[in-house]
Amino acid sequence: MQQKAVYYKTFDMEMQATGLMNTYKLGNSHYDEVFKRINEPKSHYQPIVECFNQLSISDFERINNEVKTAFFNQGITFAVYSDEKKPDERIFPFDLFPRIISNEEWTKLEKGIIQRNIAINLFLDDIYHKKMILKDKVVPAELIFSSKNYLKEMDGFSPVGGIYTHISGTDLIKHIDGEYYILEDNLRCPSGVSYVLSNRMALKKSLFDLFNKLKSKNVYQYPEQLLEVLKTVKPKNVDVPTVVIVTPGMYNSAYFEHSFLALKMGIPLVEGRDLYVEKDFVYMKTIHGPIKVDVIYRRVDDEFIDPLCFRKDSMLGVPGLMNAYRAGNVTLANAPGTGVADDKAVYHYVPSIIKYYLHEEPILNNVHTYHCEDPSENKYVLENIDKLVVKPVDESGGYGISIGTTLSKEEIEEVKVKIKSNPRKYIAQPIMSLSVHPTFIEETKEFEPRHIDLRTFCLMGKNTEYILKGGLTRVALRRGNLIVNSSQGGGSKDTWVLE
Amino acid sequence: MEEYNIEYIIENRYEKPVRSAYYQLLVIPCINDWQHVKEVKYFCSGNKEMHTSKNIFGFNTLSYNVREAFNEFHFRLEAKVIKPLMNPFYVSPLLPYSEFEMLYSINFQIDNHRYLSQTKLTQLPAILNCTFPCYSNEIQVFDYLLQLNNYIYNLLEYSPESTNINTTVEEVLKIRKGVCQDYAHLFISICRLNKIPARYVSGYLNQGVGFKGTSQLHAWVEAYVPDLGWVGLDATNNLLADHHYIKIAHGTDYCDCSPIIGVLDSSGLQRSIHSVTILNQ
Amino acid sequence: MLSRVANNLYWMGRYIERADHLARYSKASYFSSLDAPILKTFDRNFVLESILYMAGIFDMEQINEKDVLYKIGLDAQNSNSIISNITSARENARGARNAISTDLWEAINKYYHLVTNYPQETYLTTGFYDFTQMVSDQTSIVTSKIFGTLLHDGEYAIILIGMHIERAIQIIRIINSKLHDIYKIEQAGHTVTELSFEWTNLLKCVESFDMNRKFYRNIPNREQVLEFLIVNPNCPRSISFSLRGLKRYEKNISRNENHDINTISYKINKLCGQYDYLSFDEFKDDIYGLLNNTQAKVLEISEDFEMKYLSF
Repeated sequence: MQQKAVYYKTFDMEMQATGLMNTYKLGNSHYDEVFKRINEPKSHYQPIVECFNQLSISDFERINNEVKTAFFNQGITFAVYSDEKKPDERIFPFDLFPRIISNEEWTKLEKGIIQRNIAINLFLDDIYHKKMILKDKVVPAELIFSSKNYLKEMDGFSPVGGIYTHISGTDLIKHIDGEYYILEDNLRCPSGVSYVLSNRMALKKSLFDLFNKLKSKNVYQYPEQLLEVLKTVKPKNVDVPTVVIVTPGMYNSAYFEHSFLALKMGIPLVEGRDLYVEKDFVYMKTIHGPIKVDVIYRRVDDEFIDPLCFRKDSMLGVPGLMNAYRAGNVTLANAPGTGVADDKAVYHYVPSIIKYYLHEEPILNNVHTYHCEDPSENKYVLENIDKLVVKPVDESGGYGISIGTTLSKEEIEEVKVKIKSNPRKYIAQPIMSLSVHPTFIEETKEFEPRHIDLRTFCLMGKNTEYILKGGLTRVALRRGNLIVNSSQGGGSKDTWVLE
Repeated sequence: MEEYNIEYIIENRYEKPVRSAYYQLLVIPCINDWQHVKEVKYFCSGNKEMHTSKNIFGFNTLSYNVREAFNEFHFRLEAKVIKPLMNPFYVSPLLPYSEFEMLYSINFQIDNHRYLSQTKLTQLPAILNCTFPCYSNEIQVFDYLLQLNNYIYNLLEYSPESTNINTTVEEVLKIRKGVCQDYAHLFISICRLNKIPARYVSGYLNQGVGFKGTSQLHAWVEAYVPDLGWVGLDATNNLLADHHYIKIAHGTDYCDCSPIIGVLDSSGLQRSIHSVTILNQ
Repeated sequence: MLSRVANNLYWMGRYIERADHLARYSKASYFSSLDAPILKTFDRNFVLESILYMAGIFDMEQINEKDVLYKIGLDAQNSNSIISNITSARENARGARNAISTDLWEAINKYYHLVTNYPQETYLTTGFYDFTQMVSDQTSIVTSKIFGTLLHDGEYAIILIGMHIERAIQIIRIINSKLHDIYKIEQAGHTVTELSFEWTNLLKCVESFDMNRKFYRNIPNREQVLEFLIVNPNCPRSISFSLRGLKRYEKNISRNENHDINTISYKINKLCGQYDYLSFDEFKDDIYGLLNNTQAKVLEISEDFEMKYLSF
């Protein structure tokens, strides 16, 4: 006991001497993931804070620059197109201070995410078949049938193994009460997993000593697990399935991820124009003739997959693909029409959906949601816009969001007009206080608290589930900004789940 | 008993060579209690066989995938269809009130949601510029449908070329003109507004009796009458569908029933000729 | 392998090779002209015209040194410039990202960033040598990654087919271009010794000067330079060598299917066969004829190849 006390004392003194984290000021009004109070890290962060404190600011900056160069050379970039001839290529900012989740906390998260995704999958199966949950009035039928993501092409169709959401990316935040809340269920083409793996690789190369201090769970099985999951949903009468990824093409902002996953899984990355449908089977065009394709991990949105069924002007899709799918000759992952369940208006019902199908209490909380189409809730929203976040139900990427506290009087009036003109399109939530995490800010050369969230990745195959042990911690780099999407100036952190 | 010989011809000519194409045709008469298909033959240009598959409503489509450059696409369908004579008039054994109750039960509405939700083409404007007959629990559905049929027949002026396949109900109400699919779409949207399930039907119409809309494929609707089931109504001719009507398919609107959809890799213009011959023997 | 991916790899190979030849030709011509013994060559415009001719740029009204250097090097608007070739090579590599190794991709990506971020002012004042040398060095890195980090199967063969087709075409262009220059100098009545400077220069344009000296142990002359660059099967920058490479890698793709008349394999074998038994005496009187004929055949083979394997 006594020895331990001495150790802590030395540790404190070291921090005084060089500590990178010394100047860190806690945000009072938010939950700080790392520090209990100034210079006092939480126990599961202690060895990491100690490591960072041993670095000088110049060392740290050098490492930071090396990592940036490495990301740039690897092409982990997104292009910003402007009037100039050459697109401006930028890396997604990566913060070297990892986010650490204790094993205990993770165990609960994992259970909660799997529970939620199983229930959502049952829900999708129900609304595309018997529709019992609607007949029992747990979820309003009108909400489902009026959704543009409810596809009549899927009505009555049963995908292999009953799986709709093979890949889902559940977003969570931690509120000031220290509890996780579900922010969004991303059930269409959730992206970000390539950054999870790239971030881990980059951190290992640059600050390998951290990995000696704490034992993190491995994230590298993800591509293999994904391939296994995709193989479990192969069409009937197929022995060894040919699995491919379909990308909209290299000008898509997530192209890096598509090619990354294809490379790691060792499967072809194809575009719509590489495929064609003949007699309800899908083929890819190779230099030695056609090869039949059995499972498609498609990273193209529903409305673009088949110009015969959906958007007629889609150049990304494959005419006849839905016929082949409905004939059971090819599996699409995720199934078309899953978007109806990650609609922000349906989100509110997920706790009831969990209770309805699983007869269990939800393990993870929802953020309270007000529906603008409900007259009484609409009234509350209109009267309290300054205290709420208003979101359109069918946008992603952080677009169209208004945060009450940041709005001027005129802007509040504008939001009111929008809500009144189309109440079905908007939901509102109380402003959640996203937790903060020390993040290196290049302008001030200091660690400062910044808001973070967490995207998790859950895979579901025929009789199998897998959850990536970790996730993508997204960080809002601008001070006080609550929107963490990369398209809105966000960065990311490596995320560790402790052994 | 009526026996029909149907011939349907499509001739598409392209200004520039088409590199590849995928066509899907929905033109074969379907089989049901009121329709017996004795014989179907189809031919198309090129050497490849056409593939039959069921669409989402269970109707047989023909698909054709071409991967060598071509300038013309020809298709010909020949079918012999036998229809028993029928009297489509009907008197419901149910009271208007119980019919109404059935239509307004949540389970019924969920089971028929496909034909109760408006589509882009059937969406009505917020403010209507005319007063449609109103359905209530005091009128039998069948009678209401006849009233509506008559109303739409009188409301619109039959006028080929005034509209096209993308014309919405909103536009039709503005110009008060249209062809069979506009009559059908308007009929469908009013039914749906009144919670009576209604669907779009495409098919062939006997050319020998002087009906409107026989030179091309015809369109009419089917609406749901409690106890009886789906009833065919043709507002273009103010008639109930009987043995003169040979059904191909139904769907939520025109988009589910278009006779040919093609996705082409080509840059030039196309000229297209469709011709229909329906002979009653 | 997807036809589209094969198309990407093939063009990646061609663009990498093309940029390399353009950079080397410009560098060798430009720097040798600085202290050339022949007044004609010393005339800067003569050299700049030669560079433009080789780069296939014919739309410049007035020839001005900076404009020419910019146009062939960093002008992204000019599709024949080095920067455009590298951008195309990188776009093609990106389109085939998962078919190539991470090492190769990073090498190409780095190459692209080095070229696109090269400061324009430096390039036009003091950096021309450094820039063109960098292109050569980066090409070596990329080709060594192609050789060393890819499985030597289909993908590798497609890239090398692209590179060998492009090399054959470029060597022909370069010889043509220099013959054109030398003809003009000969017309002005220069001596054999003075002309050897130009033959040396041609060798340097395709990085074959040292090899040639080692092979002939002689001051370069017309016969030995042309023989070396056209029919020597061991000089990696000769037409013969490029055709042999093409034949070798095409075999990997066609899988020796058949050698019927007018198949791609047949055409390649026939052309290679012609070169295997060709001596200088046979073609010395009609060099242009041989070069033009070979170029036409290579182009025909490349079109057939693209049609058969790369269209999607």
